[in-house]
Amino acid sequence: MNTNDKNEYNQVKLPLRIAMEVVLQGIKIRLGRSIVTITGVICGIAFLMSILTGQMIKNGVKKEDAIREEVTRINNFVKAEVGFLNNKTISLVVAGKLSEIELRTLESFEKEKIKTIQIDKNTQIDKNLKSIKKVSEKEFSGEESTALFLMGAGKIPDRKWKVLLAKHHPKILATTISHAKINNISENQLIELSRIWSQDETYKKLQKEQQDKFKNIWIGIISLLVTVIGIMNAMLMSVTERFREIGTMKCLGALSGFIKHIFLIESSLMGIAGGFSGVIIGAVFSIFAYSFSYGFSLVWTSINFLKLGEYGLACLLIGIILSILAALYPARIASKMVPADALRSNL
Amino acid sequence: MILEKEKINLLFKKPTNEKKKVIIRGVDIVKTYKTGEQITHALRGATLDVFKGEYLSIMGPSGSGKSTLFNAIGALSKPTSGKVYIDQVDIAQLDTEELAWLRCRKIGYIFQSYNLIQVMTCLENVTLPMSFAGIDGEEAREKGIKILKTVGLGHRILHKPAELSGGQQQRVAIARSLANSPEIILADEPTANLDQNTGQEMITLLRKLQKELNVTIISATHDLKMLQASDRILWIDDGRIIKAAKPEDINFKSGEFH
Repeated sequence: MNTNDKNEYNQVKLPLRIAMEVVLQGIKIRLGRSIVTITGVICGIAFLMSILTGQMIKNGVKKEDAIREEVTRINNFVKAEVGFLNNKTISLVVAGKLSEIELRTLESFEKEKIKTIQIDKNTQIDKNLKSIKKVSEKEFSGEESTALFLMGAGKIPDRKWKVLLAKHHPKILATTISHAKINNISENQLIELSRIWSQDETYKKLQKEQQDKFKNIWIGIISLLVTVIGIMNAMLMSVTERFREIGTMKCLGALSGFIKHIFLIESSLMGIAGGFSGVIIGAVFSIFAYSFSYGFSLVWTSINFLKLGEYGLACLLIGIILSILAALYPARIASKMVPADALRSNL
Repeated sequence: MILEKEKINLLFKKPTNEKKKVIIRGVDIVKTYKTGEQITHALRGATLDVFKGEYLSIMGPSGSGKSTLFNAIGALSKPTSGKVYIDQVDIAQLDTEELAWLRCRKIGYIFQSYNLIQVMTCLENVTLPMSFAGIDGEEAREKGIKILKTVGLGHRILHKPAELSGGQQQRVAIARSLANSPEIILADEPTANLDQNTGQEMITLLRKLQKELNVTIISATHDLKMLQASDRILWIDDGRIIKAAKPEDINFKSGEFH
């Protein structure tokens, strides 16, 4: 009868399965309350996600805007130099990989209904353009060629520059003048196409970038704090309002570990559900909101989907981790509670 | 029916009959609460013996330390000083796991406000303590149904507590307290939230179970009917046990002793 033998006191360690059952049942029955808690998580994560997505879109739009502006400027400049491009043939010396702006400039030439862009058959362009025509060195820059372009920031290929220059009034339209320090070509034989920033402008641009960076970091920190507090509050409430239930379970012989498991499983489930929905809601909301001001196509092209995925994953993880962390403290208190005290609490 | 001789034996704290085994012994239990600066003496040295198989009622005005005494002898809280022995084991020596073991298998609790787990069905409420004791699945289910039938709720096993009346909820609570066939049942004012008739039913049920299963029942109560049904009554006031009596000694009309 006397069970002073320590071995006999080994309480059964319940498998996680039973804790899981209890949790799922709890969520199902207390659906209204669970939804409120999950909504807390959703709001926090959606807020964070929308801020991150919004900033990404804004930066993307800004970059896209700058590219478009530069392309238009170059296009106008070229028109001023060589006249309208429709039905004309130009020659292009490709020096390595072309930048986004250069490719888009070529694209804009095509929109002007240019006839052909001749390039050397040994060179390569990353974009599929109908008017590009690969020709041999002999054919390159023949009689009908109205202008000679030099693009790309890489190594400039060997060409008979004198002959080429003689044919073209004698000027070369180059997008990157610093790379055009070719032998036998003086700087006044080159026309710089890309915008030259003055020192003042460069300084202002840098300052603006720095300001934006700090602003972004600040907004990020604030939104993270809002998320932390929102989730913490939801989890704390959901644990503290169940002290009585915890007390009852302890009276029935539940171990502290079991109580802790219940709350940790529940909070991580809520974190997963809330985080996942929050990420989707936040991203979609942000995309739609910015579409209203910038137009959908501009927003859509400026989205970096890899980065969006990274943000989504990060936000989901933050949601889950915060939910668990937020539940950890009250769950610890609850599991350590003396049953009599837990039962007495009337929340 | 309890014999007259046994009744007399039950009356006294010290067992005159060697067959009567002490199942709970409280020695000089003191419990003080601190709320800020104020110190409350809930128990000022309560000493009692509870014998195996008896139906003991603890009576006292509110604030007398009744519930505190209850929690102390039910291993729900540790006394500030003094000793509590349950089945000859000093509970102060047990760690949290061992206490959980004790609460799970030795003691069944019944509360004034039922304290059922609202999200579970009646059957699940009854099988939950079984799963804490390692009984699971079909075995627990069968045992749970059997116990629910015993308390007269065989037709309500899949209902949620919120769908039941107070009396039915308390029956579920009684069934739950019996889940792991405990030796002791602690009932803290089990009839206080129930009307006269339902309370009477509860008392009859507890009395029946006590006789059939030979469990020890300790109940705190104001209810004169519950006193009448008990084998022995302890009076507690201002944190001390002041009187012990048997039901025959009480004038139930006035609630006073002879």
